[in-house]
Amino acid sequence: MINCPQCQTDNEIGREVCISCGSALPGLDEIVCSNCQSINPAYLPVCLECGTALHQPEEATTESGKPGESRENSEDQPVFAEESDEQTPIEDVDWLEELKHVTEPLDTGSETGVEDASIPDWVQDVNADPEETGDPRLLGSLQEIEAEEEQNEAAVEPEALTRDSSIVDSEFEAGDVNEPTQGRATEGEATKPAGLDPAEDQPRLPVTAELSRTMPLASHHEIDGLPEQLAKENLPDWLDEVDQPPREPAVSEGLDDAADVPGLEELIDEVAALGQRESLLYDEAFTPKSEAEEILITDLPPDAPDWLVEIMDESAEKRELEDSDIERTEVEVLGSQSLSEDDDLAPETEDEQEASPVDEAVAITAAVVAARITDQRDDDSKVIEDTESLQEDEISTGLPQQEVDESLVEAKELIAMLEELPESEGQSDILSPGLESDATLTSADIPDWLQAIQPKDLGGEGFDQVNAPVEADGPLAGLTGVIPVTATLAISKTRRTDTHYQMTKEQKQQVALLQRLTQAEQVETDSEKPKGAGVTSIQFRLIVGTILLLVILAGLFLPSIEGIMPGSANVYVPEGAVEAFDVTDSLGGRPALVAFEYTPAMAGELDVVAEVYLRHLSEQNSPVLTVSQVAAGVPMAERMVEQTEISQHLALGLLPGEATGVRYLGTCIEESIECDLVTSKELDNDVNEMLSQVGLIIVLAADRESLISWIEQVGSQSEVPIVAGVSQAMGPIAAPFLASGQLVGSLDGLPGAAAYESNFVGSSGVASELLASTILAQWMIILALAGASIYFGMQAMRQRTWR
Amino acid sequence: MKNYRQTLPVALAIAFGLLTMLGLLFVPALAATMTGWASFLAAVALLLGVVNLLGVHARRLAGGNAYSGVLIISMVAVFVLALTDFLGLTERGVNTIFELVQVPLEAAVASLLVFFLLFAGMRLLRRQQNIWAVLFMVTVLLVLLGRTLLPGPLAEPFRWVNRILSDIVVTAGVRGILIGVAIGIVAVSLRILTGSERPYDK
Repeated sequence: MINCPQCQTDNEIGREVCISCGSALPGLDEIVCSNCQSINPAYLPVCLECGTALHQPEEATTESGKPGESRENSEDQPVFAEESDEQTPIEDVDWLEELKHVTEPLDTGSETGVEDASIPDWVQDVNADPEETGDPRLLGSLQEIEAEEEQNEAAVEPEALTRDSSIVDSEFEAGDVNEPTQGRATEGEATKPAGLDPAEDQPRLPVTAELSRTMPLASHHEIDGLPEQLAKENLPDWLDEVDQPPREPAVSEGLDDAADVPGLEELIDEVAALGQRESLLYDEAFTPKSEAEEILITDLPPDAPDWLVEIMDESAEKRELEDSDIERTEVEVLGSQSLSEDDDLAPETEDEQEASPVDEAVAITAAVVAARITDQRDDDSKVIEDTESLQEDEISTGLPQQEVDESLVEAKELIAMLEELPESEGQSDILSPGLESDATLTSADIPDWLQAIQPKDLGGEGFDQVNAPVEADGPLAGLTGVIPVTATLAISKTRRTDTHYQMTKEQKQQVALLQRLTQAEQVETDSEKPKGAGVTSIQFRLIVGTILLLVILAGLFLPSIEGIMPGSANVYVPEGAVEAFDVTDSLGGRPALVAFEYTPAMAGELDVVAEVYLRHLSEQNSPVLTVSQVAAGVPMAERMVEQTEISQHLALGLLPGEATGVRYLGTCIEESIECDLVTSKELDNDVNEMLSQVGLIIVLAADRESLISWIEQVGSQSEVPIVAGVSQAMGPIAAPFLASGQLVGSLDGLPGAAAYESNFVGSSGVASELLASTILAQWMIILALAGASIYFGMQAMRQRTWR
Repeated sequence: MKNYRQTLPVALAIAFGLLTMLGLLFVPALAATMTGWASFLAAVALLLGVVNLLGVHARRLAGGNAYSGVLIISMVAVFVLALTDFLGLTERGVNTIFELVQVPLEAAVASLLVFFLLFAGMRLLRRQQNIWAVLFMVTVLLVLLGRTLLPGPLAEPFRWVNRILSDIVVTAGVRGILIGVAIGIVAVSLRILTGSERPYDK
């Protein structure tokens, strides 16, 4: 397993990034800097980032014989079992060898199920049988352990064994390849007490060594929840000096001769119990509670001092309040390790007797203070008081008081400095990676608004954020809860429907009709394949169109209808043309209102009708007022007035409002009402008088609505006769109004104009000239349709496709 | 506020509808005033429509629509000519553009109608060879023959048939349509007066 340098999570060998936090994991040939946690190649002597020595000097351990005596030694060595892995440099063998004293003979890689190929050489060296390697130091340690175990085995109480084994298991449950080197006991030694029993005299790692590692690590890795690098940047120089290792040897050197200080062992035991309490608080917070642990927490020795009982009570209360506030720091864990081994404080071996008890006491005090800092800010002052009381009550045995005071003063300053730091900085960032998978933590309450915007891929019921599949590759490799890209892209977007543009029922019907017509047109197109090798459809169209055009042009060059069929033919006179002529002819010089309700598209047919009317009005010297409901009708009126040379003309212009505007203009024609404003123009008295004297309304319309508006809105309220001039297509529309008398007369297209003209000016008018072309075109169309009817009828009869 | 915005237009529509109807029946001057207001508002609406049309096509022109650019240029050109005509700088400028551009274009497009009708009739005969197509074609031929120039002996029967068709069949059909439209207008008017129909709220 590879231990993440950031969150301490175990990762499988070969993984490049941490499964928990995504940080880059060191490789087998890489080493993690103990100062800045950066990954460096193993062959480098110093860190590329901060310059810290990556490899522990061999003389630091060989000369002292104990890793705790050198600061560099303690900095470069991992403290916990969780931190050590196969990437640990080979210089850490000494530290592992010391751990071997307190545990058991080393397990081999084969026993743990780990392949030898995956175990670094340095681990294999550690795991190697001392008898095979011939290392006298390891052999001696092993022999001592075996002898002591045999002596102490009978003295171990079963309850303590069970209790301590749980502690050992909890401490080493996150085992890895190096676990056997640290504390995984064999089957026969698994119940070996870890150490609260004072009677236990199992050889342990000297407390001095562990505490000497504790302080630097506590200060370098994490200071009150802040990363070391950040803490270094914010802390003053004097605070950095607190961690400097020369101070500890100075204390030790001054107290070397005071190893037999009376009462010092009791002090160490009590302080160790305090550290044990801190460890148990952590264990309670992050592991399921058990009855044995409860006993450990509350089971104080009867001769425990009052201040320790108070601390235990406070801890119990706090433990009940909240578990999540307890921070697990390296100092705490080490404190629990060391305090679990308080029974080893009594020097048993010659090497351990050489360790200065005062040095150990000072180190333990510093460790406890550091643990208190990281655990509970509010109790810092109390810890100092406790420490001072320890100094006054217990260490009043001729110790160098100045050295002890310096340490305490520096601890106070450290506490004050850390209290000034922002409380929220760093803590959660450091703790969260390692704690996120802990089952005892209560889940945070996610606000509703945040829950609402959570992607559906992560918000569904049953979705397990923790156990979600881990991204295997890509830039998000190692992360959980990654939203799959395909699922995100596949989400159908709901089209926003604007209610303002909702289709009405009529529009839907029109759409359905258009769809049916389109489908029918498609079917017809498919069946419209040219049949046979004859003339194609396009060629046929071109031929017919060309003939029709030639006929129309030929009609324009004929002089009149008599030129087409002289003598024996009668011109068709539409119904109402004669009545229209009679009404106009009887106007007697009164003004006439002419409405031009057509556009240039119909000018070819209606201009002739308008010209006939206007010429007749001009002949009678009747004033003409022109108006139009369409914008294009206004210039059409001016154009026709100019052509017919109307002497008295008044253009009223555009008449807006459709039926309403026509209605309003109709009221102005009545004599009883004077209009001030018609078609946005001010009407003076002369115009009002002219409107009131209008004797004829001529409606030149090309559409049904315009004609009906005039008939309904004006003809219903006025006695002024209305005549119409419409296209031939509009003839049937005007016929009912003509039959009902609402229209006095009507001219339907060129035939009507020609008939009017024949009565007015004879047969040589403009309408008669254009009518010849129209008649020729009609004949051409009749022949074409008749021929097509015969041809396709016979074809249907032959092919039996008649339906 | 929402209720106010819904009820006020309905109240105004009902009130002015009743006033206009009463004016038409009893007070012609009141009806004339109402229709005068309506005519003036229609003119203002037309002006707003022109401005809106200019704005819409200006945005479309900004989006790269070339046809909108043609429309805006034409609109501005006619407006400038109308202004110069009003100021006396030009004479019949607007009418000249109208006669040279719009009249020929519209007349040319409309003149194609005769060709379309002819080809449509022939196409009908080729695709729908059934009794309805024959009936349609026979009717077309009878009406054309009745309205065109024919020799004397041939003209009278066709004109008689044409008159029968026009006076009975066509007039009856058109009157039916007109009566139906009139009934629809009355129904819509009642719906507007009762607030059931709200054409102003669309």
